[in-house]
Amino acid sequence: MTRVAHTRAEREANLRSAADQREHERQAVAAHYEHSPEIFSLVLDSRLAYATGVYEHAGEDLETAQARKYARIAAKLDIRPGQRVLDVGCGWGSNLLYLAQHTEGVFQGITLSAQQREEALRRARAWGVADRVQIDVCHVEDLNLRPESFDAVLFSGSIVHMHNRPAVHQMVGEVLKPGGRVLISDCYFPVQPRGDRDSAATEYIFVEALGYCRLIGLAEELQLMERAGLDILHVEDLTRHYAQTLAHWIDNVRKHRRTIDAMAPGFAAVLQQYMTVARMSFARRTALEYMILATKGAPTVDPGAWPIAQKGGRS
Amino acid sequence: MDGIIDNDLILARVRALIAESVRQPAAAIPLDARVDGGELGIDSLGLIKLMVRIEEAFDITMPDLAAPGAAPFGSVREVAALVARQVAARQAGGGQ
Ligand SMILES: C[S@@+](CC[C@H](N)C(=O)[O-])C[C@H]1O[C@@H](n2cnc3c(N)ncnc32)[C@H](O)[C@@H]1O
Repeated sequence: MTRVAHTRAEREANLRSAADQREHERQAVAAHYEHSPEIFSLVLDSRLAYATGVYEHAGEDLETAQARKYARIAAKLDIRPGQRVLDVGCGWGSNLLYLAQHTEGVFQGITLSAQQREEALRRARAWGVADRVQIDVCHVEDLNLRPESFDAVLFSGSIVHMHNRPAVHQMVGEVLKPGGRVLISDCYFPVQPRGDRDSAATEYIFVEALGYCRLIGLAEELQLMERAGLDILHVEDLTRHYAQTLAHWIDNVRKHRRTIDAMAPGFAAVLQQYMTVARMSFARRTALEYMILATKGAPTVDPGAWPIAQKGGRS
Repeated sequence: MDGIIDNDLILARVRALIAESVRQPAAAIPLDARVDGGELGIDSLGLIKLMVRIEEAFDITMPDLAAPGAAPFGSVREVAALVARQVAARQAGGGQ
């Protein structure tokens, strides 16, 4: 596949050795997530999803939209008792702990942030699921997993931080059992460039605020997945939903500006600024949010049978 | 910012914040210059940062830049008038 770098950050990453880039991500990406979970709990929903919610109505609140998103991911991954699930970039455990509470699966999460691991484990204990939850501070490329040892792999808002996508998908293709599912929910560039990808705003969000981000085209990601032996089952657009989620987060930053700044001076402005850039990008569709579901071998879920609401009531 | 502040003070403070964001003395910022038209050399990120600075400084909420059909911000004077209205609304008890 031709490797066209979309941004300056990506061009710089291409000049580093793979090991140097991994080290760069370990430092630069972790920095954002190492801020106190107390700060994020003022901004995000109660389970601390740092990813888009799913809204059915314009007036819905963040908590409802995130709850719908957890349930949607649970339905898509369809985890049966005893099945093993890997959450790559598990954050403070939003999806992982929801799934642990609502299924009888066994969970392994990784994050680059020790603070996130600690908070996720604290919640796992408080919610009585710690015996089925393991969380490590580990870069995805440092995972050393047995082939065909997982039934599901989840990336929610995390793959965007990973430069070496072929290696990531290769790993997923190897560790999934036949019938295993992978779900990715993340941000993509439209293939025909809209907006300036080398703008100060892009650089600010991808580098200054979030350390390292690599947005690629949706088709590029899908092709890498297919090359890793996966079959694409379902893709849906959540761009509008992310714009709405960000509006809620931004309002929460405003509400708690003083408290946040008391804990981390200047961080409230960083949050509001990067979230505003992101919200404008999604509102203008210069960046797109997709949820992708793929399977290794014959699928155990059937998206063709999923309901789509009928327009006009009567059917 | 506490207490009742009058519109001249708000205009001066907004002008100073704009001047700061483009690293110029306040006197170099014409009151009729458009804030968002490239006239002052403020790009889209600069505009976002400026709005956040204004929100912090006056404890107000500025209009949503991403709302469909969001109005452009206009001149320094117009931005200051917008801020003054928000400050008045807040001082009237309420809100944003
Ligand atoms: C935006 S947060 C999303 C958290 C969570 N999945 C959610 O949806 O709430 C991104 C997460 O990815 C993790 N991450 C980023 N790059 C990673 C990498 N190379 N290896 C492991 N985790 C990574 C970060 O530490 C962080 O926990």
